[in-house]
Amino acid sequence: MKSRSRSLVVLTVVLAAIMVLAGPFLGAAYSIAGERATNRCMPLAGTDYFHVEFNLWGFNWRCVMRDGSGNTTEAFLPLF
Amino acid sequence: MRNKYLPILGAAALLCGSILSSASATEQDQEFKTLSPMSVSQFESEIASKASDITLIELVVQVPGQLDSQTFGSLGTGLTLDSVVKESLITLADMKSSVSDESTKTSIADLDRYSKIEAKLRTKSFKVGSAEGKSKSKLWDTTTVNGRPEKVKTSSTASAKSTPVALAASAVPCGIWRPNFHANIAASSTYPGQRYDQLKFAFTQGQLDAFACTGSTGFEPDLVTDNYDTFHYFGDSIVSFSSTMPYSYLDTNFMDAPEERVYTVGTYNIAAASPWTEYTSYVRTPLGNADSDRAKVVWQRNSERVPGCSLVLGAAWCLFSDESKTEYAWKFPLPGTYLAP
Repeated sequence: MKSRSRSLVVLTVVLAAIMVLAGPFLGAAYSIAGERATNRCMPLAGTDYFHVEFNLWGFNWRCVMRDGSGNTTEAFLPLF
Repeated sequence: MRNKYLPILGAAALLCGSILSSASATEQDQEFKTLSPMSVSQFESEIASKASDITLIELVVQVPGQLDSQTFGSLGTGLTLDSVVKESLITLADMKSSVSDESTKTSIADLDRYSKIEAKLRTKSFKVGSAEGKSKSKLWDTTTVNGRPEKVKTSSTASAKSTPVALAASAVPCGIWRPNFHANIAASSTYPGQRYDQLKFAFTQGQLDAFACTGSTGFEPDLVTDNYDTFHYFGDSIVSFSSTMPYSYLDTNFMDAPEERVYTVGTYNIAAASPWTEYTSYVRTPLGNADSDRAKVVWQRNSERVPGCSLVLGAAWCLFSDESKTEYAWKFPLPGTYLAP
């Protein structure tokens, strides 16, 4: 039991270290993927304001378009 | 017993492997990016003399007046301060030549300002805002970055099939945050074999207040050119850039769709911008494969979603678009001058 809890602590520390080191690069990957999705949302939006949101359930991007009155429409874009 | 410890051993091996590979990197050229502005003498003694290859240098020229400073940047290989000063003088010459194309009341003030900037460039009376490149040793006040991946081909954006779905109306949040467009000027550079574009715009106080209300910290005025027909006026790579916005950066076009080519010099701190001030962003590229084209502007507000990312990799890689707005779709003639209607 004692060795199992020690193993879990070691594993947690190692995973946390990896996440800290990888954090900035994951952030960059998210930004790059988001910018790609934004570029694909652009032609759909016309002259409306638009932005993308990551849709965790569908594992894709939601393209949200807003006109000057605040009315919004949305469309889903593939991940890549 | 053996199976119980396998995941832990695997994770430990991963960590050791990354430590060993980063240690071995010290034997090769390490990429560097300087963190803070420095004087010319500091740059020459601490960076230039030790770098094996400098690929980006940004100069910040301070001129008291309507705008306090202007950033000039150049990309390439084996850059030196003299080569970047030469590129910056070409940029300035392009800006001076385009003043007569633009009928704005600020043109006389612009010419005076350009003369002062030229004098500062020639006498190296400026700061080096940042530099990137490679070095065999760790340089003063630098951080190591892993470099930028090569641009990859992307699939056509026209293949994305989506049917817009109407949602419930919501109140307009914050108001209009995008600036007022003034002019877009595209022409052949005073340097043969290159072309430039200048995008000019200004914020009202209300627009800056709306921007602050949104919570976004960065702003990008994207010049987007039409490449659906595969013909483009501008070349793929940016040779030189300039901006009169504070805290400016050259955005990466990594993984951008080839159908709409984007050229952007943004700012990661829009809060430092002043109202009623005409800002200019300038890019210069080699020739494209056509002598005419068309473009539009997309205003974008953005922010850093993962704290600390830009400290390691730089703003261009870490700012996420919060919202964008397209204007004057395909109305900018390339070459040509398009003034705000």
